[in-house]
Amino acid sequence: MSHKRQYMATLCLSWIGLLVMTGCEYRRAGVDEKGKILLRSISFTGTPTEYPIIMASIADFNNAHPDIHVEHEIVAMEYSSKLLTAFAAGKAPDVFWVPSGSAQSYIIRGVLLEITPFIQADGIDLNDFYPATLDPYRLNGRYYGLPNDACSSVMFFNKEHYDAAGLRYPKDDWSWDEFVSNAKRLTRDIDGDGKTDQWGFVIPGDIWMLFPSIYSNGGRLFDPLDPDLPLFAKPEATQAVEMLLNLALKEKVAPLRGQMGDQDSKRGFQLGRISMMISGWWDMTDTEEYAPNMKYSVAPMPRIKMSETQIYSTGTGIYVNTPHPREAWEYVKFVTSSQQMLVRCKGRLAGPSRRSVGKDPYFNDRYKDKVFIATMETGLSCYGAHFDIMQDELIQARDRVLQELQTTEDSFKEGELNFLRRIKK
Amino acid sequence: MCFSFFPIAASLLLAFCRWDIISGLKGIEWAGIGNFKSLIGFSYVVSLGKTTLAPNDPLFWKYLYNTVCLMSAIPVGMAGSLLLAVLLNKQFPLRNLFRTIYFLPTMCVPVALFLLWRWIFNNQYGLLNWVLSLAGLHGPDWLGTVAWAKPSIMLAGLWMGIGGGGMMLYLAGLQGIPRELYEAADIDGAHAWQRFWHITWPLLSPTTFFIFITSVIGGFQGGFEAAYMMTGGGPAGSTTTMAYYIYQNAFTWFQMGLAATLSWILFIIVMVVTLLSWRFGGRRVFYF
Repeated sequence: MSHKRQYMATLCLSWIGLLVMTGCEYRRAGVDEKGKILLRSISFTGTPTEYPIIMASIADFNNAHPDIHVEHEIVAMEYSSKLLTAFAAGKAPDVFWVPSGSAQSYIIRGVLLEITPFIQADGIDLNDFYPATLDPYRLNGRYYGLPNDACSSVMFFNKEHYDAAGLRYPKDDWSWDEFVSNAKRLTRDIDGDGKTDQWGFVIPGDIWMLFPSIYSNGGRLFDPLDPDLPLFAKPEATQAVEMLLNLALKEKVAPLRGQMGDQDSKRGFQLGRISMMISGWWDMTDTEEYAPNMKYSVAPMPRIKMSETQIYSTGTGIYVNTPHPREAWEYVKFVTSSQQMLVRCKGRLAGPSRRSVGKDPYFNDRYKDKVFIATMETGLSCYGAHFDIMQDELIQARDRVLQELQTTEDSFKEGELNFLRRIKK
Repeated sequence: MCFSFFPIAASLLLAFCRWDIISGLKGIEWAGIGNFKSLIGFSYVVSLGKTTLAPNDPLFWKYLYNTVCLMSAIPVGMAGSLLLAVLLNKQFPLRNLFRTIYFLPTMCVPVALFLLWRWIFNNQYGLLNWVLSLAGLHGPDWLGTVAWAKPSIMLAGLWMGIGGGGMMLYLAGLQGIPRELYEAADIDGAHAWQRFWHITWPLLSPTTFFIFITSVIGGFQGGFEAAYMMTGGGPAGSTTTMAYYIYQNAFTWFQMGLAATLSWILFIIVMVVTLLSWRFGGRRVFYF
């Protein structure tokens, strides 16, 4: 072999060796470089403002637990994809945030550690949690996570628009008819060019925001006793969806997608083009940041048949194969404690999932927060073993109605059939 | 071998398995041809007292139709690439600058370009509807309606693709045609169209065939970035392609086995279409 070939072969082998080495890291499993027990945790986030609040909480935990070191990662996008890949590789974090909608699919597939023995041993008072916030993390009476944050869907409304239209602000017991009547009065062509400049309402882009109306009309998405049995094509559900979508299709008090451009509901509301929208705590935080001078308030969802709304929660769970379950539980206990929850509420990250936090004097002069908190007792959580497939079918069913391709009843029946067919696979 | 053969073999194995990915490797279950039956099979369904034969997965056929529909832009794109190549093959000032400008979209990240097009298509503030409004026309909601979403994605794809690889290959092909043939045609009194039709087009047929085959393969695999960045696959699933459906099955619905099956079905479709094109299209190719 010539010198040139030998030189090239050595170069190639060195290059391959370096390439392989870049993917390697030596570290004793579950222990950091200082010999402390290492817990890897992961969470998602909606806005950059949430970063420092979450990281401050991690720092508090690390300071309070000198033998444990939590290494936390915040994932801005594709949280579930990242988590799934980690599960597949057997390298899941020890502790991770679990959105309420996906909790049951994680529990059924056996990736969450049962924490009932820890709860009992440490005497955690589960009655302090709003019932709907605990439901997604429980299966057959056993717990697999605890909710660290929660909030509900409420109606946001622009006070200046209400004042200009001479309308009284919505009360706690306002009805659907009153809501539709207000939406009509608030829909205005301000400059007289024949085009609507101010819409009374907006059809939610987020499919979750359809759920409160379904609940309020006595409908459900799944059978409470069988989370695989869909009920979203039952008349109570389709009637509620039709009432909501007709606000755009027939009453013309809400824009169809194109009539508001690429603005989502939130931006339209913040820019004063929308008078009312259904949303959650996160948009209160967002509006306070991006439209600090806006005069708005919130009200419970208008009542169709009953006063019910949708509850969302984010829980923290432990990976079933973690080498340090006891330490991981310490972390779960810490982030779901009243003290930490109140810190996050004050940071405007989310609402409380504990009654004791909801009663904290901090909320006394915060009317909007109190509206959210008041709905927590009666709201319902939505979750299921195949929640993501249901979401996909509901989005398609809603789109078919909004595109006037099918009636609400037919479209949601098709969605239900598709759902059943798909989960059989 | 490690980075190409192993994933291919693993995906073939997974195509015959059920795997929700969450459960880790121990959660893999043998499903036989169950995934294939679920996706491309048909079964009798009783509805309103009538028994009808219905697809087991209507979404598969719908998204395959979407994919093929979007591929109907391929001939237009090829014609555009050829036209550009012919124009840019002529001698004129700043020719290389124009070649660079037309090739530039190919160098950009598709995600950024589709984000740009999302704003161009914006119903109220978009450039396209603003231009239309100057002519007194009211533009539609390009990406928000079933009727316009697919043509909009095709338009964005054409803009990005016309000046890309197809144009470069045609330019190379044009420069390989002997000048003597054109000189002989000039002596015989042939006009521009006759020169193109009887010399340029036949001698470019190997290039055309190559571009067609690679475009068809790319077309079946395409549509992911557009769906992800511009429409989310909607409205009503009208812009979901096979590639996006594979992604959704794998990373949204935890059905890795089905995603692998879809990938192999897509591979078989692409292979059959390519072989048919080779069998029938290859006859029309003129090699010199």
